[in-house]
Amino acid sequence: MPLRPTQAAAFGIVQNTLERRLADLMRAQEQASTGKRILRPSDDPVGTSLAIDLRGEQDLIGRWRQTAATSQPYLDAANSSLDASHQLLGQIRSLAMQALSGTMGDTDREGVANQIASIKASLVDSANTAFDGKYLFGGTVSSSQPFTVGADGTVSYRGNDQLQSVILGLGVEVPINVPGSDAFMARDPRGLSLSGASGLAVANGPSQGDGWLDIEIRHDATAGTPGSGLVLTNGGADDTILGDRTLVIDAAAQTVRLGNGPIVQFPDATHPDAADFVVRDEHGALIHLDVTGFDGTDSNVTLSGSGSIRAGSGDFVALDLAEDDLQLVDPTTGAVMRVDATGVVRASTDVARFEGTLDVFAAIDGIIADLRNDAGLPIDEVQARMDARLGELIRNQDAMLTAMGRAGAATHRLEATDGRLANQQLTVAGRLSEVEDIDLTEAILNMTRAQQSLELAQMSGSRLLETTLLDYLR
Amino acid sequence: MSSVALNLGIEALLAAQTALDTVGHNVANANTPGYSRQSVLLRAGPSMRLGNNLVGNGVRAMDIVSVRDLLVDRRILTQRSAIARLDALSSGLSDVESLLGEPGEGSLSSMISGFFSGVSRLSANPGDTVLRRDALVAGSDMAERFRSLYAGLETLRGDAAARVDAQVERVNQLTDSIATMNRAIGATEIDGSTANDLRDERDELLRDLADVVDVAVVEREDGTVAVTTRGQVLVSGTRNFEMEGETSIAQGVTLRIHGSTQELEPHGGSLGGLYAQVRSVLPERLQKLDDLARSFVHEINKAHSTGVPGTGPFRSLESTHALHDVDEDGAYDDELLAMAGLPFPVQDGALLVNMTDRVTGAVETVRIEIDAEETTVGDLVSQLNAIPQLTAVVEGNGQLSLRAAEGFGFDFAARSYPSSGAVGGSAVAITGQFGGDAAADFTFRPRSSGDVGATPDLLVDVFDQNGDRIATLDVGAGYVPGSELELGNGLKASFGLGTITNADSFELHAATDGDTADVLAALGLNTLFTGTGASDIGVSERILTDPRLFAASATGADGDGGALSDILAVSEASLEALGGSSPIQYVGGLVAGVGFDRASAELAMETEQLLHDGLVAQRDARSAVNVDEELVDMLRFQQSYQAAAQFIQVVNGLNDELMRLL
Repeated sequence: MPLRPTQAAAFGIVQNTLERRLADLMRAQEQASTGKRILRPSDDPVGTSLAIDLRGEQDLIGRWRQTAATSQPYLDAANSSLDASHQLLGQIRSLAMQALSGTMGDTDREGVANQIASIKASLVDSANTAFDGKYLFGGTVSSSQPFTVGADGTVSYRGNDQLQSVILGLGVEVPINVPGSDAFMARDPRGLSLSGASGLAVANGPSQGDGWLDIEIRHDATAGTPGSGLVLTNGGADDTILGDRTLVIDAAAQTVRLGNGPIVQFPDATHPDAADFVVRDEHGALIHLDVTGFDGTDSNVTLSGSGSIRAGSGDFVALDLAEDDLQLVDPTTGAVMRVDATGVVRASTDVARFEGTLDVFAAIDGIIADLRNDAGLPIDEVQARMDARLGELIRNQDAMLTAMGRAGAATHRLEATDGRLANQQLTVAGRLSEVEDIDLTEAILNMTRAQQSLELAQMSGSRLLETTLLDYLR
Repeated sequence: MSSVALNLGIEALLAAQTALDTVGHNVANANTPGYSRQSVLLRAGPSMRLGNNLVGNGVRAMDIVSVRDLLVDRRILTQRSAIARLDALSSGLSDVESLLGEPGEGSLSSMISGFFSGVSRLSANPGDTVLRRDALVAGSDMAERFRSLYAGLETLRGDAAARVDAQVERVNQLTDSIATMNRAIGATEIDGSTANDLRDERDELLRDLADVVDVAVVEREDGTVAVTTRGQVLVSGTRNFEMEGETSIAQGVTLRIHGSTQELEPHGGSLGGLYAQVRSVLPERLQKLDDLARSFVHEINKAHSTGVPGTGPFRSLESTHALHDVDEDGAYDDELLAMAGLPFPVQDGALLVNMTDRVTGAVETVRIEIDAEETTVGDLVSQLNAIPQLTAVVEGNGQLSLRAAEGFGFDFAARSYPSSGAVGGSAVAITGQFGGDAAADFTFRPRSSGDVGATPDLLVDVFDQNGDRIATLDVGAGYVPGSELELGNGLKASFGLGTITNADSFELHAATDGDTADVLAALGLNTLFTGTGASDIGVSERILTDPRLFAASATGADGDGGALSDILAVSEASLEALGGSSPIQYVGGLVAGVGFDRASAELAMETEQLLHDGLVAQRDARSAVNVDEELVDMLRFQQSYQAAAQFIQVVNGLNDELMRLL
């Protein structure tokens, strides 16, 4: 069929074209003015779905970064507080070392002890650091003070040993705390060791317990009678010898010797000390002799001390000096110690140390007690104990360093993760912009093109519509 | 002869007159919608025999016919139906698009992200009440967005259903008019003439009808048309059959022809588009949104229900989802737990209940095995009641209520238990947090006999539930009793002094999930979200009022964020119920689906419009009025008229001449 144009069709075509061109122009204008290519999902469903995914990813990365940023201050606070604690320990160490050097008097030592005690108080404060209402060193117990000071000054830990982690990526979990159990209460149990004058030794059997406790070895009685008319003062009640010793009296020189101890002259009967003259053996074990009844003869007799033993607050049991695997139990702490009594030579209060179990506060408490030396221990014993305490202190200081290292590593991980995430965020933002946003040059070009098209359509349309045969009919 | 000639002249005059009238009618209706141009059918009159000659007898205006192509007209009807349907569909989808508001701020996907961000921030300091409140408010906002979206979609569906009713009314008006036109045309054409203008009018009505619903039109011999839609009769002869719509909550709307039992499903026209919106487009989106909310609630609640709130273990707890007495015998106990009308499924697994002595802090863990096909409500309640210091009761309204004795508390956290025990004479203590992938049962078995810390080469093997050896611990000579040995997966064991023999053993259970049976989420015990879908999702009022009840901790320690990690895991998890996509991806799919549908509807509409325009051009080329053409015709017939008048004058002159002769 030949084409038969009609006015109605011409009007229709012009109208349609104008509508379409105007719609194009409006769309181009909308895109150029919003800068967005996708204004509603139907503009580009694939793009929309991608945009939602990308936005989700952006939110996710933003969430991780925000979590890292929120976590950072806690780690920083923990780090600086650990650093401060470490320095406090250093001060305590140098003070203790000074005191150990031996040139100090009792009052000086007391002063050092007081100084250390005040540093310990600062250390407890530091261990109880809270940031934004959260205690930093309680493991995952964060709303109550992890370290509490008892009436007797001992510090106990109320937290746990658990790590609190945040998620900073798919499968990326970063711990943001250092449990106090690791930083201030590090344990590295290495078994029992004993120190003291009695000659008590660690047996082969295993022991179990925590911290330090006293083993008291008591002298109960001395058997045997000294020769040469001498007698034991008070029946030997104040003696400290345990086991057999020979007592040799040389009348000519008026000397007496206990075991392999020094040969000493004893005084005349008229001397004020004559009723209570102390003789020591090579171990420092002593007997009290009343020399007023000296009959001028030589003698060589054997005296035998017997005693009993207890650990901590336990009951005294008679000490069998032939026992090489004696089990002692402290009912208070439940500590079990296996000791060898065969070497015991004198009464003494020894210290049983479960090496590597002393926390930092107990070690400091010990150092303070050693410095004050209320028990009046001989200086070399005090020094031996302080050496051991310092060992524990250094071990704790090392543990603190390790904890600081862990906090530092966590900080580093947070920072590294944040940097990586920032890059990733940029990439995602770029991709999102690629999907969602319009190229501005293109948008403006599009708009200009749409405008021109519309003008062209209007012009040509008006030309088409104004032609009619009527113009020429007369 | 003169009378013949005069007659001939008059015939010519009349024919030219008729033709001019028709031209006038055409020009007048040049812009009348649906008007088909008419033309006069001229034919030479029957010739007369005059002697040997057959003399022509002028012209006759036989008929006025309208120029039309029925086939094209019918195809235009089909196109219009398709376009109207797509238009209605596209505008409905556009409403859905604006409702969703994606991509952009305040959209559902950004609200979901917002909730997870809140939880994530909280994980940096799980004990912080302000951060807790932030996370809860974000969750509440998200729930609100779910509900408002769902309500918005329901409103759209209700509006569309109301518009279906209006369109049904329009169909009935149009079919009534068409039936009336049928009667008029039949009456007019009974004499064999053609009622062109009435037909044009009826065609216009048919086109209007096609805009509303897809129709098939068949013209009968008597000039009437029969109109059917999807095989059901709308107009037959002079009768029309009313369409009826019925609105219901479940179906939205159902249509049928009066007197027919068969349901009518219009495929075309604006009615078809609206019907599709009410019956499939919107319900599909409502369903998807509901699925998303439902699996969201379920997954988050599963993670939250095994957590421990900031206030510590529970003193008492009530379930939010009531049990149903399905067999209506007045007792809940005999109902199978998995089929007791709970909104979420219960599966095979185990529930851990930890009883904490608030004074000593001692924890005792009890495992309750759940078999989805066997465990009844009664079984669960009696097993809960068997736990010392715990009372479980199903209230009259079907709520399960749990209460701990004074001084005790309970929770459902995953723990390794027992935390202490003994291998022979040696006390065993377990520390650490189990970090394995799945629950495991460990058995400690000494390889030989001897004293811990003394006997050389005293080894203890640790086997898992499959009988595989996972660790061998040396507790012989050199081992310091009480020191910790690594078991792997974060667990450590320490052995006390004592004698062990190779006949001794110790069982350790380690769990990663306190409720593998999902009983808590199903019952709504210690759940974060209430509701079961998009229409009623919300953050538990109990927790919203007291943010400390947000169960962030997986261990009971107030600074622990284990449960938060589990909640965060949902954000990136491939959820089975969502076809393996994460919640955000699912929203993306939902939005893209709407976008796709609308874009394809618009594209299809453009194509259909092009086809329609082509058909209209085709029809116009044949039936529309070209005014210039009519002007030419006018000149032509004006000249014919003038010529005929001249002819009559000539014949008249001839007659006068003849008369003068007489």
